[in-house]
Amino acid sequence: MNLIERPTAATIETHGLRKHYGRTLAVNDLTFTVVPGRVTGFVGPNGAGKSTTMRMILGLDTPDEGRALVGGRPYRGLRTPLRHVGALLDANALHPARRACDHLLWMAHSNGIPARRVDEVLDQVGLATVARRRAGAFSLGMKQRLGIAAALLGDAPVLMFDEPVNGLDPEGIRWICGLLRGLAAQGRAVLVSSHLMSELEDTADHLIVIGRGRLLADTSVRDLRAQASGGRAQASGGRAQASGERAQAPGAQTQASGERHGLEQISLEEAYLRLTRDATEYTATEDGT
Amino acid sequence: MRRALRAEWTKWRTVPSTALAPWLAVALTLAASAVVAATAEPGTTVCPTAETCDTVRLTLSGVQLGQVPVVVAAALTVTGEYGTGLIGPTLTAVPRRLRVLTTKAVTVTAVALAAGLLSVAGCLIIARALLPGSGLPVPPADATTWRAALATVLYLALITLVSLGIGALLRNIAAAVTTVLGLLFLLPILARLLPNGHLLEKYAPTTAGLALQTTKNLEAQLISPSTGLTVLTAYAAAATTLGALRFHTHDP
Amino acid sequence: MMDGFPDVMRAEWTKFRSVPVYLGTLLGAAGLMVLFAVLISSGSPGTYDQAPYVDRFRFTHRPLTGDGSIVARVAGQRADHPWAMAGVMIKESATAGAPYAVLAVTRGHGIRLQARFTTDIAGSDHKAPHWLKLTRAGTVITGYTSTDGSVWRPVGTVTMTGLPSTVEMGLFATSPGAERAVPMRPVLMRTRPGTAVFDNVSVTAPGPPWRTDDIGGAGSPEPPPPLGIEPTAVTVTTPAGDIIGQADDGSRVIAAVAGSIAGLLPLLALGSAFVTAEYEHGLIRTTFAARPGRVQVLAAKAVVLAATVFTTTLVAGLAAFLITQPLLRLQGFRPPTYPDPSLADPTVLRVLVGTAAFLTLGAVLALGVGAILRHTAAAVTTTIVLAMAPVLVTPMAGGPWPQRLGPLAGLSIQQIKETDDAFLLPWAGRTWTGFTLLCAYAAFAFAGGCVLMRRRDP
Repeated sequence: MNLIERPTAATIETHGLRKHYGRTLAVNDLTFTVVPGRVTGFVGPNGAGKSTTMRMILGLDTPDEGRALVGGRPYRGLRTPLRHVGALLDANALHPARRACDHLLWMAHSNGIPARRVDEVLDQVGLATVARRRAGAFSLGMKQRLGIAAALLGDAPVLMFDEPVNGLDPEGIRWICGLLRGLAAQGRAVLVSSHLMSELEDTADHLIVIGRGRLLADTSVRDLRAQASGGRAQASGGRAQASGERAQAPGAQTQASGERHGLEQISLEEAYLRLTRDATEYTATEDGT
Repeated sequence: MRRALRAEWTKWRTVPSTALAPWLAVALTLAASAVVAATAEPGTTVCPTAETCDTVRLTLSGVQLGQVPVVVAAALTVTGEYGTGLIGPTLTAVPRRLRVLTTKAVTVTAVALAAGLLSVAGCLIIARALLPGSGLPVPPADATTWRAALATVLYLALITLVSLGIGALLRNIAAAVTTVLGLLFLLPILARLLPNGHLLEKYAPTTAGLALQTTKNLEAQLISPSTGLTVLTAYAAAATTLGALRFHTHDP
Repeated sequence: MMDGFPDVMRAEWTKFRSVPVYLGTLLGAAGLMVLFAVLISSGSPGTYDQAPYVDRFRFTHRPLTGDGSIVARVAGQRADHPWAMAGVMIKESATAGAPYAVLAVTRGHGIRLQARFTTDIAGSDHKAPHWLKLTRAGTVITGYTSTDGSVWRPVGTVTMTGLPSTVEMGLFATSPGAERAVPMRPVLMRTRPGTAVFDNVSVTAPGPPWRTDDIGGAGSPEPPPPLGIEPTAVTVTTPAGDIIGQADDGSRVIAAVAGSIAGLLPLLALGSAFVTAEYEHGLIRTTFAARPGRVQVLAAKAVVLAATVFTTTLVAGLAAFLITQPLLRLQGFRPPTYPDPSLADPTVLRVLVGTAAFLTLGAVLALGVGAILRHTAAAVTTTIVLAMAPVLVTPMAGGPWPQRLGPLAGLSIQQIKETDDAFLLPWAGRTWTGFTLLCAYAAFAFAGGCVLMRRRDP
């Protein structure tokens, strides 16, 4: 591939990002770094500010304070941004009357990416047979794949995916997890957001957890489990009992208080739920209303 | 810039509603002009007698109908991105917002000019064929005719830019189409109802456009062709500036 | 098929009222209607703003001193308006507003003897070609008509007190249009020049040469042709013009609905968007999943749309009517010439309710087109172009048929005075014809939408 510019360092940094939407503080003093070579999960409850943060990284929204950098530079200053960052924000952001291949083609043209990349990425995501079909006829899963293809188009060292597993069947989820791990193994920085920890359980190496716009944790997966289990071991018996009853995720084992050999098996899901318990914007009540 | 332009052109030609618009515009213009040329009779203000008939204006009048597809497509290039959420990928691919709008403007103008040239050429050919049957003289192949023809092409380009600006300003295709078509077709009529409306009518875009096509009896027009061109340019500049401001500053 | 329809309607109403843009459009259209009514009523009365008459025509004349007469045969008259006149005239002087007496053929009202903006005597029901004679004896002017030029029948007599010895006598033609009609009507028709061809022109006594003047500064596209010393054949082509005194032309009611065409366009967009928005965002699948009866859905949409548009525009029309009355009185539209209109008057009710119905039918037509085309840009554009077609076509092709056949034909319901201001509206003299045609269009579009909705997959 003929690169116009050398790809810069594969990092995403945010420094003190803050954003209001009307009177709501969507993102509050968010600072983190995404480094290459691993899959970083960006997790938080719905409405926590994940999409807003990603949009600010891509220069779609302007932060009230703070800044976001890609490879040390602001996104809007990049001349061929698709070669620096590949992003999937909204799988439905397509014109329904345009063919899938043309949707990728204009993006390729805009950044001087050769047209053959379009065929390559469509092949990579498994849409080669439907390339010439109108995007409006695609199912949700196919649209997700098309969005992923768009992110891969520029062969960028930094990749960001907002809820990529939405609409994918189990086989598709497994495929994308493999894809993400493979991209990270190539030395790219991969940021994947989700509001379901179970999706990221086997994929993410590192986690950035946010809730109500604030950073709650910026740690490796192992450390998060340890932190959560440690807290649990110190809990009173009653509380451990209650949390044991709440842990429904597969692989979780309810334990009586104080037994340390259940530590490794605490699911990421539960650890995350405990962490974000207070920060959840939208919670169903006990009786399901 | 060149790459962004290429991307905009690819976007334009890969969606039926924009890709087919110029062809529809040419077809409608030629059809309308053909009907006019075949059925025109002396006795109107534009064509009082056979000798004093402004046949150039008659034959170019089809553009009043043909402008509609091009104008709507121009608004769609912007509003379509908001409606589908495509504005996200667009600004991700080309973060400089002004560049995005400029390349859209260049694309729609180029299409309007091409459609306009084809249309007026076709209209003049049709005039030669059909006007003698109505007993009216054929437009002479002189400077005045060329001036009116080229001015019509310019009119189409300018009015397309107006529509683009309004599309960027309103971000909604129903609103944009209603505003632009209302500006073109309804404003002159409503202007006549209002007190001091003659000013409004004088500076309406349609009035300017018709003045550009007039070759005879220029004194009876509300506005001279050159003033008409200035007025239209002012409209295009205002609309694109306002549209650019909205495009640039607001979060999508 | 009809069971559960109230539920569907409730769903569609919820959809409608939960989109702020829809409600905003309704209010905006209503606002435009009231705004235009107020603006129009605050300006000058238009037709009569200079003087309580309109006196604009082309006059080919020569002076007459003392008694005399003029004979001419109107060989042909070419004009659009039923009240277009062509004939002979005796006028105190060649200035606008000067007292006059005319004997003329008209396009639609037979032979008339008129004088001083107030007298109007009907003669026989003839059109051109016909012979006319006007004689002056002192201050008494008598008009005669004949089919062959030898046997003359009197039409009537007018006495013009204070008529000086020297007057102007000659031939004239008028071409009313925008001038006669109420200034508050949107003018889609063109007023074409009117042409009258006279032959066998003779006057009792020879005198100074004839001249041609444009009375009232009609402003013609070409200067009058020079005449010979004693012409016997004369053609008078007059640009738009009329001779008429101030009279109630329905302005006080028309002002209230003058802005209705401004409110039309947003309502057309609303009608189309209400259905196309669902297709474009894929919501239609959810809608059809929730309620498989597709015709029910479109019918429910039509009912909700019709109810909201009708209510809003009726209230707007009533508000405009009430607000404009004091404004109009201030502008000079007062009794006795312009009596106060009342809401109890069936004509007034027909105009107000009919206008609201016209706008409602337009919105439903747009809904049908939207269901047929399923694409917002295409549907809104098509509906607006169809509605505005007369604006486009009439300047090019002329004639009443573009207005009569398009959706704007529904404006016929707004007629107040047959043939006068109705001249600017389609189907002059037939208030319900155009309106019924619009009903048919709306029904047709709706039916087409239903058929296609059932057949095609969203």
